[in-house]
Amino acid sequence: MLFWPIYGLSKRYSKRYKFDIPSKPRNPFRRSLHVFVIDAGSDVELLLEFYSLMSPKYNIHRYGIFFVNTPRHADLLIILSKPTEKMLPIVKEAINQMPEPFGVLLIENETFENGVDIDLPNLVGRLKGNLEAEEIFKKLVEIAKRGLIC
Amino acid sequence: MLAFVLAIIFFLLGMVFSFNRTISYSFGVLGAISAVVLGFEGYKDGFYHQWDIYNNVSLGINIDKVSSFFIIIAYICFALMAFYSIDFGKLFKKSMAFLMNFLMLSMLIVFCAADFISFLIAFKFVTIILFFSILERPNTQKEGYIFLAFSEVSYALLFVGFAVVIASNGLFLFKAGYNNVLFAVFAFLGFVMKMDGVPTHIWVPLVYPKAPSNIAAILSVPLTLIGAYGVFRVLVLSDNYSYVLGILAIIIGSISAFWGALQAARETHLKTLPAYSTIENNGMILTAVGLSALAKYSHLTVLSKFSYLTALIIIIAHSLSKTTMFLTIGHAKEMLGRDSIDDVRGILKHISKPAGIGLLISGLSFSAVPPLVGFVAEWMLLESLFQSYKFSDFLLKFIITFAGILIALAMGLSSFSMKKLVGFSDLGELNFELKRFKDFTMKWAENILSFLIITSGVLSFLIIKYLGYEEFLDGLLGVPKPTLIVSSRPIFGVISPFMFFIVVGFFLISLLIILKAQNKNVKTTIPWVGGLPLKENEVYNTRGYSFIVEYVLRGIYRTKELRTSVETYDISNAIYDFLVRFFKRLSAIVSNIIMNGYLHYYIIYIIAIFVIALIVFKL
Repeated sequence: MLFWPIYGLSKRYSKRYKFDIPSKPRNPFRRSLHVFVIDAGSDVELLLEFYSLMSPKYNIHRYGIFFVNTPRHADLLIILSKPTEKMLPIVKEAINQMPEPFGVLLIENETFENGVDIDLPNLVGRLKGNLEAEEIFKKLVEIAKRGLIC
Repeated sequence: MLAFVLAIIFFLLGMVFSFNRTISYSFGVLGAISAVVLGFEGYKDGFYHQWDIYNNVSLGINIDKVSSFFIIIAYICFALMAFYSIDFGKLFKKSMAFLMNFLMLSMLIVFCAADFISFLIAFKFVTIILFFSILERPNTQKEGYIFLAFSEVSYALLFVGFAVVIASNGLFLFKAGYNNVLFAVFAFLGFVMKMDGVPTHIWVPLVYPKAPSNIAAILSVPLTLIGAYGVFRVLVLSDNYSYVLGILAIIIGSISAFWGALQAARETHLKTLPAYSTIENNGMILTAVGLSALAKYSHLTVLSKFSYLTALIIIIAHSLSKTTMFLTIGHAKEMLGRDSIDDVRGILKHISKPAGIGLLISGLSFSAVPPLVGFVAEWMLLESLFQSYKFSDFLLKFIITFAGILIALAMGLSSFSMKKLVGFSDLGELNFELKRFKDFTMKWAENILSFLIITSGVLSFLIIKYLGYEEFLDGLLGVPKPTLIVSSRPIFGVISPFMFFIVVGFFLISLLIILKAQNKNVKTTIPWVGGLPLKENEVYNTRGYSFIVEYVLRGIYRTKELRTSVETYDISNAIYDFLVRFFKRLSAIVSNIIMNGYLHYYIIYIIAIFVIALIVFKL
């Protein structure tokens, strides 16, 4: 057995680090997806469905999907419903604050339409219809799997 | 001499034409330029003339090296202030043009006077004119009277000093006060008070914010230059007492510098911060002058000369930078109509480029950023204080080292406060609506002043050469001959702002080109508060910036943390607050005892006075 500092130093300097360089560029969000949600005028039905994603039943953290408090930390911006006129500048500011690259997921209301149509940049998905939490969950996992390179 | 007459004629014409502000201020500019020419003439040749009027009473004009230096500096600033006022003055009454020309005339006589009579008369005029100029802005009576009170005390001290000389040898000339101890002490204290030495500085932060900006610039630069001029004169005249006066100057100067910088570090008002900075700079001038006197007393000729030169360079730095600062701040303040640094933001982007750049450059100069003139001045001051080991007297060594510590602290704190002023007001985004007015001459005055600050720093070796101190210029290693400033012989420390400018200028330009070529995408966004625009209290403000010093030095500042704000206090006000309370109490007691409304008290009082008068006059 070697004296411990010499053991440590020899280990430190004799260790060879191996890097496997992939032929394709890696998906930067392969491991996790940080999501910022903005409620731009959704109905209660959609809200209830969406926020049940955070319940233990789905446990989305195990898929590496996390909810963050500011668009500056997020990879994906989820907009619940088309933005109403009052929410429009706030949605625009949120998009402005997203770090690049980012994606936008729009989930529309089913029952009523009072939002404005805007051109969303980097739109990675669009959901509409009688949604259940599971469908949104599937979509999120899909996005996290395939990455956000758009 | 022609320039002297021309200057007086121009100022008089300016006073006559005060019904038209543009013409009046233009004459003011011409007069100031003539005065600058007079200064340059006087520095080369000197001029003395004396008129004997009656017995010993004689009036005289004396333009020697000291007075011409002060005339040059004060009137360069005056010329630019008058030029600035062509547009700025339209915001105020016509009487301001009259007052400004009158002020320039009286101050010229103050700097040229060789006798007490014309000096005191002109000095009185300066005080009265400034009092009325402060009143140009409405609701400033209180501040005007505070200014007047402190000016009168310093005037009284000077009056006593001069009276001592007249009583002792019957002569009315300055040179008659040679080696007169009472004259030296009284005049010295009077002039130091004019330089806002601690603890007589408390009127400064009260009056400057209320006065119009061009008047604040006059209060800060030419008025305190009178004090500096007087201190120079008194120290030259009192050879035998230069030991005491020198020590006094160093102690008052270093404490003023430290105290001014300390108070500026906590200040959040747009014009009070430069006001405290004025106190700091005047303290530095006083320290340099005192050191020069002490070195002369101890027969250290080289150090004496160097610290004298230091005082001159600090005067140049202070005058140019402080004028720029007050004029640019006035520009922003009048456009926005706001007083606090937090309210005035985005000068560079929204108000005007020259004002923003002028404020930036003057702030950098006060923070001693090379190669600006403020850097040269502060380096020279520290360099001369470092040479305290040359003194053989232990007391002097101790005092100068201690002063060096205070001055170094003051310099650090001053750059802290300047960063606050420039960073918050120059950059950032505007919160309020602008009130646009014509500001052509204001912009050009600011441009010229910024240019002067940079050139006087880069070409400081030329200034030193012109002032006649070539022995402190040298060449070393790759630096060519006259561009290197040395602080002593044999060489103690060296600096070359000129070479610094060339080398760093080259590197800066190449760095800029490289950065430009990289073409990075930079996105700037506001803080995320739910996507809403920021409210006033959500922005990082000056109070937050200076809270760290306020908390660390809570013993000195008497920091009180309230629910939504922080309160601090300048403890040098405590003396005056105590006096105010004492006299209020005293007057209450007197009124209770004597004037309490009972008739028999009055009758006893009258009878007593009557009896005393009878006894006194009978005897």
